[in-house]
Formats: sequence, structure tokens, C-alpha cells
Amino acid sequence: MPKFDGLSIHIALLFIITLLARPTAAQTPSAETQDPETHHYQLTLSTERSREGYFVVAIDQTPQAAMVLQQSNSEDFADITGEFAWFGDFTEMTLTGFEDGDYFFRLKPQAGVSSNVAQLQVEHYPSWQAYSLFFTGLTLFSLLVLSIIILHRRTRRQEVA
Amino acid sequence: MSEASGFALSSSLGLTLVVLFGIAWIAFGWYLGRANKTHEDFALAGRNVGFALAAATAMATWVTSNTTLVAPQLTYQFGVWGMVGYSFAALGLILFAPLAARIKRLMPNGYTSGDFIRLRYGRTAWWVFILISVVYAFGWLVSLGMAGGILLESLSGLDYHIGMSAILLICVGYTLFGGLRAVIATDFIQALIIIVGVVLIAWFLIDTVSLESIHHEVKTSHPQLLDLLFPAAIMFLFNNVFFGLGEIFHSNVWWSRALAFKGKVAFKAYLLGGLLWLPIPIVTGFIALAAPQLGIFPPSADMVGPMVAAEVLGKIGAVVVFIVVFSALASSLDSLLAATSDLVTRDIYYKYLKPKASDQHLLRFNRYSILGLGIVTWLFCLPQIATLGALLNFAGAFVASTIFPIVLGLYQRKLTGTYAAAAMALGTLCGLIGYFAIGFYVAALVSCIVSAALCGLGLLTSQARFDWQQLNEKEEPTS
Repeated sequence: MPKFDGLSIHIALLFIITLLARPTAAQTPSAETQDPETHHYQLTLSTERSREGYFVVAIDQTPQAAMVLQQSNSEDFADITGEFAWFGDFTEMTLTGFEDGDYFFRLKPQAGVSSNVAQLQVEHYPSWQAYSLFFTGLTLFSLLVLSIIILHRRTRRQEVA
Repeated sequence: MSEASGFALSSSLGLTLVVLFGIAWIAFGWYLGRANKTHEDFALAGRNVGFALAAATAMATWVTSNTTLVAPQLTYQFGVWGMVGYSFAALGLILFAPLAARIKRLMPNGYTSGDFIRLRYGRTAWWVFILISVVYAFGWLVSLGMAGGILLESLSGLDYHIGMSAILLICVGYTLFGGLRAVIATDFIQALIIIVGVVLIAWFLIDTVSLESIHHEVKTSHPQLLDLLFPAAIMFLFNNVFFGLGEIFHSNVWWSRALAFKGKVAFKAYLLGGLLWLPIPIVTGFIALAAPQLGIFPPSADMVGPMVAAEVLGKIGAVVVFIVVFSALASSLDSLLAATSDLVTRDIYYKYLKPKASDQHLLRFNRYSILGLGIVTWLFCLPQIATLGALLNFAGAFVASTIFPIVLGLYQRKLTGTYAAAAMALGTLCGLIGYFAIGFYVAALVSCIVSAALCGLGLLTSQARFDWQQLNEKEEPTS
């Protein structure tokens, strides 16, 4: 069974171990990220076909400062329809709120940065499927609430009687 | 933002906050735990919790990673319906109010939700229920531990594993010393911190970034988020309602509180707790809609809330966010540790393995259970296996299957153990099929539909008449 003096010491030790852990933000940037030469990033998407209009874009190495993801409706990026600044030193970015359509993504070509083009199709669920589940849920929820109210009031009446 | 790293807090400030919080909560838990003399004191706070503490603990426990991290995540993914739909989870607390009053009347000497299932439906249903409870408890515990890591990482860039380990260590520490008494008392303070903090964050956000600019940016670049006919969001809406109902109706977190509350406090406490909780996901979710306007596109959708708040409010704001979210996580994590360890101690150890165990023996075993649960949760948290929303909704497939068996079991004499067990097992199975075949946003709905259909069939075909007196199980005195 636990001895609480000993337990307190162990908790304190675990705290110290936790404090000694080295945070990622404190790590020295790798030689690779300091290299002024061009870096070719491999862009990948969490899915090729999104049914919900959100998805994750990932790169294969640590991002550089002020890196920007570009979005277009055509593979040649003749028209840039959106730009998203890459945050911190994370290697992933979650994008959301997209309507049905085909989308292309790449990193904005600038000094020291290039990437492949990643393609995504957004195709939301058909309305009939969404409404079917919505009204089924509504019916079931109404049934549950009515059941609780009726059964509770009936039971209270029986208890009082 | 910190110029060097792009994060709102420096790693040393992040660590300092964690250590200060840890020391304060553990010391408070130890102080409160001195009053615990028996296992009933430790597990049910002497069954004497008054209205103010009861309402606060109901509200604070339900403000969790769900509301502080997942509500913004779901708003970021599903738009307006994400935050409105999330606030509907308050219905779980509100609808549990009458059930809690009924539980207190039927089982004045009860300890756990497992007790109810065993006495009402028998062993087969009890095994199914325990399996569901364990999966859910670990799903929630793991999501809370993960949320601690995600919070610190998004605010200060500290490695995920540090925040995750720290919050588990702190909550295990003070729950171990103080039991449910410490859990409820810390919940009261945490509830005050959460309400004040959330109001402050919303105030500063609206003051700094105008509603018009947020609306314009979302409408232009992310139009689906404002679409009220967004198909996946519509599918998600009632799924979230049933997930919330299943979580509360089945979980020993809420049953142990109903049994711990004094007299007729339970009904009013859950009702008020639900009403207080209702606007919180709207506020926490709303801040996610400001992300595109601020140029914040998070690596993982569950990091959007703290990242936006920290960006808008700067270093002081990030400290406020940290305190609010950390309080919210702690208030749920401690409750879940206490309630799950009660379930393990009472339902498995005492009822099956050591029926003659003394009160002091159970008290010690309960503490071991808390420690063991903390360690197992830590191991599950090590790999960051999914987003918080996806992980939580996996558990939705399990818990939603218990809604109708619990409600009908409390009020209807006709439903038998065979149908209740089948409803929970098949409901869960079909919910999981929905989870993998369609998405996480239908798992609970499918599970509840199948379970309700089987319970309905059970009521139609059964001739049984359950005797309510069987639920009032008297404990043999132990010393």
C-alpha cells in the first residue's frame, strides 16, 4: 500500500525529470534549415477526396520562415485563389471550409523554396444522406425527451400516491 | 507572439506555469484529503455535497477538452453548426437532472452506475456495460492527457509529451490525496476560473477583431463554414447530442455525483449546471472562426482555439488561455480518475475479487487504482494517435448505445437484461461500423438508433415486471 512520504518524493522526482526534458522550441535549428540553398519540399494531402471540406497539408521537412502555401483551381496556377502563411515550425497545416470542386496546392516559389503540386477533390455528401440522418436523429431525440418527461411524471405521481 | 519561436509563451514561462499549478492543486488536494476517514468519504465525499458545490462540479466537469479544444476544432471543421451543435451537449446535463433525482431515490446506498446495471439487468448486461465504460473512460482520459500536451505545444512550442505528462501527474497527485472531496472542491474553483476566463477571452476577441471582418474573410475564403446546409455538419448535429447524452447517462462520473449530492440537490444542480454550460461552447467555438482572418491555419484542427486566443491576446492572453484550459482539463481529468477508480474498486475488486475486504483495504485499493489508471493513460497518450474530436467520437459509438437501456431501466419494469445487453452490444457494433464506413460524426447516432430499436422490441415482447426494491442493496458493515 502507498507510503505517502515516499510517494511525495517520487512525484517531486518526476517533476524534475519533466522539467529537464528538452523542449522542441529550444532546439538548435538544424544545418539543413540554415542552408541558404534551394529546398524542394514534398507536399502531401491527408486525402485525395474530402467529403467534409477540410483536410491536412503536410511537408516532408522543417518549414522555412515566411513560407506560404498557394491554392489554385488549375494545375498551372494561372489564377491564385488563396494563400496561407505557414505557422511556426510545424510540418502540417489544416485547411477548412472548402466547397465542391478541384483544388491544387503548392508552396509559393521564392528564394530557396519550391515544391510539387498536390491535387484535391472536394465532394460533400449528398443532401438526401445528410437530411435522412438529421431527421432520424431529430425523431429519436424527440422520442427520448418525451419518454423521460412522461415516465418521470408518471413515476412521481405513483410515488406521491 | 514570441519573436524567436512564433509562439505566444516562452518555453520557460510555460513550464513555470505548469509547476506552479501543479504545486497549488496537489497541496490543495492533500489539505482536503485530511478529512477522509472512510472509503465512503473518499469515493462519495460522505454523500453530503450541497447545492453550490454540486452545480459547480456538474458544470466544471462538463467543461473539458470537449469545450475548450474540441468545440473550436469542430467549429473550424463544421462552421456555425460546429459550435451550435456542441452547445447542445448541455442537453445531456439538463436531461440527466430527472434521472439523477430518480437514481438517488432508487439507490440511496448505491455507489456506481455499474451497481445499477448489475442489479437491474444482471451479469451479462453488466459485462457489456463495464466494457463500454472502460473503453469510454480510457478514450476520455487519453483525450484529456493529449489535450494537455496539445495546449502547451500550441502556446509555447514545448514538446507534446511534457504537457501531457504534467497534467496527468498533477491530477493523479491531488486525486490520490483528496478523493472526490478534493475533486469537487477544485471543480468549484476551476468553474469560477473557467467562467471569468472565457468571458474575458470573448470580450478581448470581439474588441480586437471585428465581427464584420471575421464574417467577410470566412464568407470569401471558407464559405462552407457559414453554410447552414453543410451536409457533414448536419449529419454531425444529432450525433453530438446523442454522444453527450450517452457520456453523461452511463458514466460513473455523473452517477457518483448524483449519489454524493445531499438530499434533493441532484435535480436542481444538474439543471443549473447544464444551463450554465450551454453558452460556453458557443464562445470557445466562435474564436475558431477568427482563425482565417488572423492568418492562422493550425497543424491540427484541435490546436486552433489556443492558437487564435494567444495570437489575439498576446502573452497575457496566452497565460489566461493556459489557466482556463488547464483548469478545464484538470476538472474533468480528476473527476474521471476518481469515478473510474471507484468503478474498478467497487464493481470489480470488491464485488468479484475481495467481497470481504475491509473499508480501509478498499480505500487503499482505490488509491492504487487511481495511480494505475494514471500510468496506463500516460502510456496510451504517448503516441498522438488521432485528433481529439476523432478520438472522442470513437467512444461515441460505445456510450450512445447505453442511453435507452439506462432511461428505460430507471423507469420501466418491463425491459429485461437480455434485451438491454443486446441493445448495448449491437448498438456499439453498428456505431463502430458507421464510424469506419462513413465518419466519426455518425457513430453515436447509428449506435443509439440500433439500441433504441432493440429496447423497443424488448418492451413489446417482454412480460417481466422488475421489483424496484432489488436496487436498494444494503451494504454489509465492514471495518
